[in-house]
Amino acid sequence: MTPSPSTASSARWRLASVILLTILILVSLALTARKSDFQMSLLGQAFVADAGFEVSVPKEVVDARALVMRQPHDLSPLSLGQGLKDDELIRQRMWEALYPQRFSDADTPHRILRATDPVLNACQLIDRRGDVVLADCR
Amino acid sequence: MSFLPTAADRGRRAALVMLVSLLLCYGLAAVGVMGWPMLALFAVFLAGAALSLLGLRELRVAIPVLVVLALVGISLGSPGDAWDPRSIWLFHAKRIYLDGTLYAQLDDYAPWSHNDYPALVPLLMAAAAGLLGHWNELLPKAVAPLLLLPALLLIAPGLRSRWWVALLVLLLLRVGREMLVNGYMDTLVALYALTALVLAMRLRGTDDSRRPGDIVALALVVAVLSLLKNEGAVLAAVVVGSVVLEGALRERRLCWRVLLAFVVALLPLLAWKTSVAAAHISNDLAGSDLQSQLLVRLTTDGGSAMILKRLLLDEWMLAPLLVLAVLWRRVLQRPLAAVALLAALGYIAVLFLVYLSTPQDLAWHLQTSAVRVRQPVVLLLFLAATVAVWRADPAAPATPDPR
Repeated sequence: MTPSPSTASSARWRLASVILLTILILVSLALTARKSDFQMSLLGQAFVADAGFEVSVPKEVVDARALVMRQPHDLSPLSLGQGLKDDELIRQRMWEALYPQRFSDADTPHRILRATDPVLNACQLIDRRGDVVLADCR
Repeated sequence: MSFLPTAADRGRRAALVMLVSLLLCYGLAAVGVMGWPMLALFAVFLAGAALSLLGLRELRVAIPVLVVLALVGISLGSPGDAWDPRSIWLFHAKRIYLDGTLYAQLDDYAPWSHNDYPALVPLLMAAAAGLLGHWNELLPKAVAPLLLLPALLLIAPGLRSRWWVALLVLLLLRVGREMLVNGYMDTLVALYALTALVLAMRLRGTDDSRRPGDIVALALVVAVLSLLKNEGAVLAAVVVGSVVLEGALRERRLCWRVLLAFVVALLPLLAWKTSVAAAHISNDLAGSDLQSQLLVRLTTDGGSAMILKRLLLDEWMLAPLLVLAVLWRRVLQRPLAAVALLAALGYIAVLFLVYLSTPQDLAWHLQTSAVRVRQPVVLLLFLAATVAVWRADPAAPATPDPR
């Protein structure tokens, strides 16, 4: 039994619609992946401890966390120098990414400063990494 | 006639398992039971997601399941660097994971992280890290796209055709974009609001259109919607209010089932807000001088025009609005279209008032949030337009799937 012309035309239309919708969904997924900076290398680390940290926060935060983790004692509460505190993105990332290390908006004995911060002259340098220093400003 | 469950039934069951387990998980954490019981319930939530794979042979289930799987994969392979997810949801999740309590954020440390926001999604993110055994920046974030699945599995099998499912998923991908994978809650809020509306309309309908368990499904969806973020509770009220009001006007009766589901569903949020109030944590909007901000923007600085321009002047808003304007008679005739339009307009009015009274700089606030918060309106308008044009009725009972 041969299909009628209208049935064949309807089947062709359906197939074209399926292909079009599939392409549109795949393109939308690809755009989503691109806009979110999807990387296969990250996907491979999805279950690894601390994975994705360095690509998710500014470099100053990566450096600050490394400095704090090298200290044998808890230095809470810490505070940020002006060059770091003024940048709202860096400020919020420091507070959340270094948690459970706690921060205070008021100046504290232990401070994280930019290496060029003039306040550093009045403090004792504890450690440095990149453009960030950990200092004792008592 | 077969009494074996259809693929669509399996998808719906998987959705209900996921919603029940995640709310039980939240309930345990709320009464202080963390550790393995909470992790076991989170594992049941994941098992529910896996259960949905049994429905893959039916396209109305397969399309949402495969797209959500793809989104989870993208989320797992993307940096977690978006502002709100890091400063609010992932931060609260890390606090729950490290401090071992749902109420970690109620010490009001880092007040900029909106410590009054509900902690349902942060809890699930913390549970993902707990199941893994350590914190990382990738896995907890993937909980957000996974939460799309129960809502899609409840709504998709009810659509008359698999084409509507594909179009719904496509619309979600185009409207949500990267916000679907980087930990934002806004697309989830929009989808759960749409699902709540469809379920409420099904519950409002005749006995034939109603399915056993619809009232439970609606209560679960509204409970999750209200616990996603503060806007969720407002949106739930707008959606349920629209369904009940339109029903009272059109059918001259009160939909007590919908109201009952709504009231019961808000109890977990009420408990959370009681804890927030006891911790003396205020909301940035509620804690500001709303009235004077609102009056100043209404009368002097052209704030109203700026808000309307940002909220409405966009092809995703204008296209369905144009269709609805042309087909206004059909919109009035078809209850689902009328209710969806009513809810969309109601929520636009709420957003308008929120922006008028925001304590933030208006231009900055609109620029950083308007595209996100109007997503529920876009989905509701598209639903109304679709029903008006094609008479697609997502509230209708599912047709048997071909075997």
